[in-house]
Amino acid sequence: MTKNILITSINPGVGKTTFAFALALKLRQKGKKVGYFKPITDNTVDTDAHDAKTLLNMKEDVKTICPTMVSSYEYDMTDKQKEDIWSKIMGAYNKMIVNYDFLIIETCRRINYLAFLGLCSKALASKLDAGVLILTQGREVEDSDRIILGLDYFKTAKVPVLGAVMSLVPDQLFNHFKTVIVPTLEAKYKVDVLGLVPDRVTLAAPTVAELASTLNAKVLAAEKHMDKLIENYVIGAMQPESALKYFRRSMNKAVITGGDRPQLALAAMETSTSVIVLTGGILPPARVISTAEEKEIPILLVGVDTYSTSQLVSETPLYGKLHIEQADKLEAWAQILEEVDYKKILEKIDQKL
Amino acid sequence: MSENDLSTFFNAKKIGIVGASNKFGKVGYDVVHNLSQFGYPGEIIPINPRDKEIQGYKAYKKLADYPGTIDLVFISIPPKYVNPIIDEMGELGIKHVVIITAGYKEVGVEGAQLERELGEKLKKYGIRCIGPNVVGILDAHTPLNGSFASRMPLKGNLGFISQSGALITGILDWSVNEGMGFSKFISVGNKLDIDETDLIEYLGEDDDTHAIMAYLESINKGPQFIDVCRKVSKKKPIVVIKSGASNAGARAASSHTGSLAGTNTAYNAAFEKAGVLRADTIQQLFDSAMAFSSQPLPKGNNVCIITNAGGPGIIATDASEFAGLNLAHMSADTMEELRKILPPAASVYNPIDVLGTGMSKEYDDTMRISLLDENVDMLLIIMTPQGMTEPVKTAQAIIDNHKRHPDKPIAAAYMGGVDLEEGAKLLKENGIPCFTFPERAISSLLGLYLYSEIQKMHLDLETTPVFDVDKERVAEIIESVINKGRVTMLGSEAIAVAEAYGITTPTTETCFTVNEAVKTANKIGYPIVMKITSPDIIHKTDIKGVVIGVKTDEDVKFEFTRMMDAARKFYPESRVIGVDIQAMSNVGREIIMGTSQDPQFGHLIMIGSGGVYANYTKDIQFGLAPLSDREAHKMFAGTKIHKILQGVRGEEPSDINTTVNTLLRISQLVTDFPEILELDINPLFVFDEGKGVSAVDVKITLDKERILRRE
Repeated sequence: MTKNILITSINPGVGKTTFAFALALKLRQKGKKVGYFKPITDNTVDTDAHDAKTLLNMKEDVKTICPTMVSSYEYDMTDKQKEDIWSKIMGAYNKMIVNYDFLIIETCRRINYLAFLGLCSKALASKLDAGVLILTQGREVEDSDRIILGLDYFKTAKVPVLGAVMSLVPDQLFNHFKTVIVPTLEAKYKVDVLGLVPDRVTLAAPTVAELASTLNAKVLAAEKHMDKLIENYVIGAMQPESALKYFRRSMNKAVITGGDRPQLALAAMETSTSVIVLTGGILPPARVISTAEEKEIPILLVGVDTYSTSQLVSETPLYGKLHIEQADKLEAWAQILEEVDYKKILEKIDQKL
Repeated sequence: MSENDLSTFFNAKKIGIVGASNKFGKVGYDVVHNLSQFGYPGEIIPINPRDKEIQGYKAYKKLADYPGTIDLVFISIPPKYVNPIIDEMGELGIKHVVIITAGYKEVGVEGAQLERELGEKLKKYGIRCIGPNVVGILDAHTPLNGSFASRMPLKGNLGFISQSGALITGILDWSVNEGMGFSKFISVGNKLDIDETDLIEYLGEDDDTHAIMAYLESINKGPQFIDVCRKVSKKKPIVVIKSGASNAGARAASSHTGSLAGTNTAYNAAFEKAGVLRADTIQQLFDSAMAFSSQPLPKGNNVCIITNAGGPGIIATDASEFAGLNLAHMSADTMEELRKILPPAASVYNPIDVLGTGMSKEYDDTMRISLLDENVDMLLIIMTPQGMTEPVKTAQAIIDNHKRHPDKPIAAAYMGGVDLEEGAKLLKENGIPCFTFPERAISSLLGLYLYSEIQKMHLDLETTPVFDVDKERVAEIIESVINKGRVTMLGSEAIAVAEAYGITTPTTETCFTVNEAVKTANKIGYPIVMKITSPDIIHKTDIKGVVIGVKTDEDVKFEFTRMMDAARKFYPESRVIGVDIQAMSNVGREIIMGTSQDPQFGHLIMIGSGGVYANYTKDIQFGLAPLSDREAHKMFAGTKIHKILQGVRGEEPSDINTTVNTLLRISQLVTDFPEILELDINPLFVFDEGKGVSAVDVKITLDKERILRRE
């Protein structure tokens, strides 16, 4: 019997958490008592439970919403330890389930993460009476192969799959997905594609403030505008006369360049730029800072060089963590949910309840 | 009084000085002292919270304490106290202020915030402001010296606007020695309200000013600057020295002004369109200024050089030709007349050599005869000190000849020091530009000639053709690209835009699967061209992303797979990758054409030699949209490829008319759709005369923010 919805994804960083929150809010609007449950985290600084508590106004404590932490550093776990984990999960679940019609359960990373320990999404779904919603990116046609692999995976444990949602679909491929990929998945592989979400970077883009904290940077200008979203990164290493041409090709970007290259910073300010990261600890001329202040584009100063900065940035996923103060992202998802067939999700749950 | 009438700044009857001081060394001391010592005829009203009297004038604690109406206020107090003064002015209805105070956006974030507040207050009260961060303003005719410069310029007819305060004080000091006179000196500083464009417009109407000189590091309102200068340059010359022409200079200018130094090419194109003369050096600026202040404009570029020494004559000849002046061909009659009055050894050909023995009479006769020759548009007189030379008498002869022929400009090079000093002084006092060396004299005559050409340009009727185009189609394409979350167009989209504006292009479609590609290839008909397309890939050939002459379905499948793999490998972040299937075009002469929106002046349009080496040959000419017929022809004629397209070595001439029309169509496109930031056609194949052109590769980048703002 299926009671809950378990959200898992084929690839990490496709916006699972934001999607889960947005879906929960939407279902609540429709009169459902829905709670959020994250049985396992692998992250020492996981704020999802905390965010859920605030955002969804849940009265359970954080330790109940997210009762355990397990990571791949513990693959030598004993059976006793595994049992402990399960009993913590079940204890928290039993405490929560009485307060709600059903729960939206989020798993971490990807579909088969922690399978070695028997703690992957397949195991969680069958123990927690959940149907699975597979969230995946749809950036290329091969992503459909991965959905099929996921279907087979859950079939082995007889876990029902409620459907799949494909996000980050490039506009150019949207029609191709709609007319070729989705119909085939539905007809031939019997999976309901409940949503095809176009690629809108705002769904998951990090803010300037997040970047500043990642880079441990000093803010030189426009400190009031740190909530801008970063959709692209561009390294400013070109000749000043060709800079405009390059900068114009990307929107809402972070430009990383040397503090001694004020012309590049000024060129970036003429285009759609969310933040300028100046490297090498070199302060730009006062007038350049003033211009940034006038144009409300934050300038960050870091001590390391451009190369190291770009390395650091590439390690920070462009699709940053959700911060609940970022109403922007949730709003974007709420809009996108209009394109997701949440009514069908609801129907499916009703059917199976 | 209209909003743009700035005359109060120069003929105010009552001037208040906030920050007036009795303490020598304070700016507020200098302003009062300068107004007073250089004879300002109006009322000086010092404002000082403590002193009852400042330098002999009754002082008031506040502006409001003065019983009458103040016309103009100078402020030189620390920046944090300035904004309350503006409030006071607003309440009292005083509409003009010069803010000498520094410490605004030139010092950083806090200064920038203060300056923004200041700007808001000025707007709120409708107060016109020069500054902040200026030396001040000077008018030699009023006279009014509201500055902390230590001198007053000689009375003259040159107006000088400067973005550098220090340059004002330096030039001021120097000009007195040179005997150069000015109408007004205006320091523009941070240009918070009044900028170069407002001042050029004002000086254009100012009867005391005959020529406008400016030193600029940046231009605030590019398009208005062009409009205003186009109007003013019909009436009087505008000579601008725009610093930051070199790479390092541009960097320094950016740092100094906090604005993106527009490319040098953009400035050159803007100045050309506006009828502004650009000086490369301060010396050039003032060499031409000297000529403009007293000499007439020549009818053409034919110069006659009269010298008493061979060497300097040849040097001057070289300088003339390099500068673009022509050595006049003297008529047979003139040479005959000259032979009669000059010794047999003298040269009667231009340059005319009166020999070292030439006295004032030889100079005088030669000038008289040459000035009558209608082939001579202007004269350059060179003198070196020799035994029989008569510098002063010759100077008088030059002055007299100029009086007889006031329509032909004359400049002189008195090559020497002590011996020629008196003569040189006499010349300058009588308005004959006189220099120590001939190159500078040529440079001053050149300025006159170039301005005469600008006046001729104004006489020409500028026609901008309007082509019949499909605007709606372009609007649709732009909307669909933006709706898909992109700012760069795919090849097929850009080609469709060009086509809608009547630019011939080969059929092109973007395909995302092998099946689509094969189908399209068969529809178009083999052989075809395949090109990788993605908003993130700029140089397709770098990843072998262009294949010409694909002939079979098998080859389409092979190339499609190869290109997509290569693109994914090199551009893993790319969100969209597809392949353009294009009909084969005949190969013609390769031209590159495009536009890029300059942040200051708008769409800069370019044309030049095309192909993959275009970035290296740099055979390119620029102009600003909207282009007139004349401008488009002139741009194209300025390229080297133009000569080749006319037909060389027995080749057929190419279709130059269609090429120029294509340039004009692009100009119309970006004028209709200013949201097009960048457009490149490379190559544009040009075929034989009458056979047209084909734009085989087109790239377009859009300004999403502008489109969203408009909506």
